[in-house]
Amino acid sequence: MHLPLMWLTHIGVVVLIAGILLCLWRMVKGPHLADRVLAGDTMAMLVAGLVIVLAVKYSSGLFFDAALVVAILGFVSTVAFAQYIGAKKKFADIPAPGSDPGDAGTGEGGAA
Amino acid sequence: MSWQLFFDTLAVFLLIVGLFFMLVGAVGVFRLPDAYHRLHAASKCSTLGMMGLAAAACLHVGTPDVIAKSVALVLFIFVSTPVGSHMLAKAAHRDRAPQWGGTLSDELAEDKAGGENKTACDTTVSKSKKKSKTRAA
Repeated sequence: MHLPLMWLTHIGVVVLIAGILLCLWRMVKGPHLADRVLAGDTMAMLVAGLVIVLAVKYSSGLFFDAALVVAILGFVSTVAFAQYIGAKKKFADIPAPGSDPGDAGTGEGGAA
Repeated sequence: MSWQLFFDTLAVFLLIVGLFFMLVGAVGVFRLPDAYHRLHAASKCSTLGMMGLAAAACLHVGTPDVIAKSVALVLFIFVSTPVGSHMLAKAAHRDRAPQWGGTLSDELAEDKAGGENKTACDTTVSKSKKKSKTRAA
């Protein structure tokens, strides 16, 4: 195998894992829920990149299905969480079914 | 010089470019001040980085199934990343995610505040033009 390419795949694994750790720190610390979702989306992209770098390292085409699946799951989870964040306030105004309108904030509906 | 050596050298260059953009995106997600800045860094850099990495894998492995799958992957990412980050930015704005202190203007909030009684398109355009003029001055 081409020698600089082999070393570059080793460096690339280290770089992408460092990026995953940075995104993990943002996901733990992020002040808003959108920050956490965005860190998860970037982390899915980095994992797909890591799978592609491993495909280059082992000269195999079997890794690409995994990269495609990780990218699709990252997109779908981002869209689902974006819908949730956008509609959170609307859900909070609706009282939970079965509870009195007076104590909507103190019932079990407040946890959702 | 054989073709494989040429393709591998080109793959080294593309891999360096892709890894650079991926690392810049991750550092941007880590360092930038608010959610909108972080979205800006993450979406652009991960799109470009995945393009570089997939092109490098195409050149190095080079079998038809790898080329087809990486073209499909890059096309999917080019479509899905802007859509996802746009939806996330709109949802964060609707949920009133905190903005950076140095943010100059929030035109979506202005449109939402003035959108009930002023429905004509001209007022919005003239207002934003005036705003950009004052910003440039």
